[in-house]
Amino acid sequence: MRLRTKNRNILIGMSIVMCLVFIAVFAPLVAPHDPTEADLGARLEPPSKEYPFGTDHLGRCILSRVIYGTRVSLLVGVTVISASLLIGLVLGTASGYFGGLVDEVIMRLVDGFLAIPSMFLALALAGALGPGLTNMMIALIAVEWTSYARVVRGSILSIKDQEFVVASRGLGAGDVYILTRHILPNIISPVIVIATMGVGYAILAAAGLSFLGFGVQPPTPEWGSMLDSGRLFLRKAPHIMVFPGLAIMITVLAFNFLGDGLRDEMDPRFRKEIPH
Amino acid sequence: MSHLEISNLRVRFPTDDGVVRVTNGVDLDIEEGENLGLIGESGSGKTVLGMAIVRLLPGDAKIEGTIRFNGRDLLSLNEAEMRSIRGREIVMILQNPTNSLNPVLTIGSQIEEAVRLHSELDKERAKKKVVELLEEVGIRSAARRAKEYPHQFSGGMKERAMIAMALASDPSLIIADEPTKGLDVTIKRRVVKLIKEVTKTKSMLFITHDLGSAAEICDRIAVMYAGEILEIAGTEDLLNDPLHPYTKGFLDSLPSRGLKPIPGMGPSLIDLPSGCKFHPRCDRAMKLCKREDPPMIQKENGRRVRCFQYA
Amino acid sequence: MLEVHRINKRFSSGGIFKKNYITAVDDVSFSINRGETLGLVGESGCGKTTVGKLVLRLIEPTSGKIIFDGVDVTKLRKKELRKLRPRMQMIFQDPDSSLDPRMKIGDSIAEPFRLRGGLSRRVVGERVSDLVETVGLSPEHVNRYPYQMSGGQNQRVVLARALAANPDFVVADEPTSGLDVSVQAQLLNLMNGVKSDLALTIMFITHDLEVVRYMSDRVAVMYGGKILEVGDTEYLFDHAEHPYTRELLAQQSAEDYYVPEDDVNNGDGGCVFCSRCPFAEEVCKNKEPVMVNIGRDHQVLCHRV
Repeated sequence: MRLRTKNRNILIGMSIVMCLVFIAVFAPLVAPHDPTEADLGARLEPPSKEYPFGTDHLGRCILSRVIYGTRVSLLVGVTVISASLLIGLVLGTASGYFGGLVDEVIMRLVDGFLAIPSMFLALALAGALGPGLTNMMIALIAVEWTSYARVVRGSILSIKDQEFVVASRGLGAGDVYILTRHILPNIISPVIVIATMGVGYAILAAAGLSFLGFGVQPPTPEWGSMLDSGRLFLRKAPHIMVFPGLAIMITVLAFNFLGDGLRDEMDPRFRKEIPH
Repeated sequence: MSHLEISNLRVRFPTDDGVVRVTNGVDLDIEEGENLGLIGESGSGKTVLGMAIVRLLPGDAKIEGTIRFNGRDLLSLNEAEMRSIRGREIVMILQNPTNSLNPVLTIGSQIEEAVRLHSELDKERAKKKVVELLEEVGIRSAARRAKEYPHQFSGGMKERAMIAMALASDPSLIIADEPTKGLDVTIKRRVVKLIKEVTKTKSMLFITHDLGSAAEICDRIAVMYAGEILEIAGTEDLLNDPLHPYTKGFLDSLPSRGLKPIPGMGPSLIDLPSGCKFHPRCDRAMKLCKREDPPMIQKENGRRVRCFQYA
Repeated sequence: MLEVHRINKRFSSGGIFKKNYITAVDDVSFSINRGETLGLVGESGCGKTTVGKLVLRLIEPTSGKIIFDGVDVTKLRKKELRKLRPRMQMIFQDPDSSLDPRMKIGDSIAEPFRLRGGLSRRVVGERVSDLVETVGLSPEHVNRYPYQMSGGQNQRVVLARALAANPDFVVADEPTSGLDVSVQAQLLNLMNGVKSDLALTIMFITHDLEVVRYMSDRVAVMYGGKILEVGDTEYLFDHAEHPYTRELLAQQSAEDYYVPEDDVNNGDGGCVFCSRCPFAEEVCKNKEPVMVNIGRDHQVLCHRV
């Protein structure tokens, strides 16, 4: 991809995502306090010089917790989507390219997963597996992979009978060659676009699960569980919920911006055409 | 006064790669009741010229010059005034009927829309008019076929439906953009016949790359290349005695005339050659051709040619 | 070189409960001699493209035999077929869609070399630049993408890629129908040149009789999935026997001619052309005609001869 782009969505999305990655990597340097250290003398304090985002019910620095929360959120978002993408690519490719019985089996499996409301499925799985970061990610992957399998399959169906693929077969190319040389390069753009937006969605879903107590457990700083713990003090100390909430919103927006921008940039249909 | 008079029309599109000069000072006129053919290859600017007349070009197009229709300069009209002319007095039949027809509406309802936009007919009368129009363009069992969707129509039938739609407002000028493109010989011949029939009392600009169809329909033919008109002549004159080297080359490259190709390819509209736009491909190019833009030269029979050979 | 014996192709459509069959190619037989160009002429939907794909086994025939250079192509296993493939190439109608949009021109042309393997990068590069020159492109085109080229240039690329496979037999399916006439002339001349230089055998599919006259030694006229008439090109243009061939020729010369209905007789029995034929008699509607040899390698499928 060219980095020189005039696309505003990409620029905005990209710079926020870069900032978030920087914050996550250098959290210990950026955060003013230890995120788990409780200052019991300074509980539920509003934002001040010492605690720019205030403190929670245990007197922990909210800014530091939001900063460390970036780590969990990005980790969850990227891991869940990468794994879903991988599963989706393999199954979607098998399904779309080879068709027949393989296609039938995989697509019925997808239908089965899709028949259960996704949040319900995630909750049920997270509940069954027990709380915790890994189990939460497994639950989210179980929900997410279906859409990638469908998109990959659809893209492959639309491309596998195009003449350049037929031509390559006519030159004596085999399935592996055609898949890696012609088909995957041509379907990867739309997949990257939805994956980018998917990261935002996965972060949001993870926060939701944690908020409900199925995800990351205290005292690990995580935005969703921070919202949950702030719930009881909403009247007295709204800042406990406001800042992690903002963090979630900005992060999801950033990935959506990036995905939107990438779509415009990569999809040749959006390129300007002059009538002739 | 000509029915349509285009003078010094320039259309440019600014793009990331530079300014695309699609038409470069086009002068054309169509007399009342005349069929003028506009022949050109892809990238010659012929479609853009047609779209400029009905002002359907995208907003970023820069348009200069004048287009007078019955004496009124279309380029100076506001959008509301233009709407009272476009689709009513001037109708454009766009290229590719498959894309121009809405796939989820019946053929009849699409023609009915055109009928009712331009007349006070009530629903009953409009429906009757639709059937009449479809019959006029030679569609059998018109009342039944009006209830069908575009995908139920063959390519030739769709083109007929497009023509019926164009006739809905009884326009005085029709601009037809490649109406015979992609049709089989038999079907093409029938569409050509139909167009000839329905434009007997109208003026038409017939845009095409198919010289055979143009020859059959048009009184005069203009040859366009790289955004310029290189030659205009009566159809017979042009076919039997082409003057411009490009016209000659074009005719010679037809399969029926020996398939002798013109060397090279059409110029990039971003980076046009100096002087005569055709000189890099012309076997009779002189030094002068490279340096200077040849003027339009008047010849006998009202013919005009843009070439120094005839100066 | 190529012998096609009674091939059929039916396409099925519709769902699980009710299948509809469309016969695209109906009992077609013909042969092409080595070094010859056979023109296959017909209107859109007559099945000519399907015949082209069947001959190369890019789609599977429902029945029939296709013998290429002594080998029955329809009986080959996948592996054997892949080995044979480079010897038979196809050039498609739309050059823009027969090139991978994400592959550079040079890489597309190099594809047959890469598939064959065993050549160094440098040798492949040299071969590619030779081919680029053969088809009249310039060296700088190698690094471009298809969308940066014109349709005519892309069709040259497609031709170069086909030639890179070092084929004996090429099926060209309306290779110039989307191109401007001056570009068409360039490309057809190029193809004729290449054909005689490399001693290729060509099956040229088109709807344009003038083009076929220029390109081919023999012509087969197709309608409604059947071949109606085959003959030596020049002879056929002067001595066409089948009413459909005559109609096409008349259309071409812009003579006023009977304007026919546009449907194919799909009913049981009878000639495919009878519902459109100005000379149709009772027998044409009831009995299928058989191919008759009327001399000088001239065959006609019509009751009247």
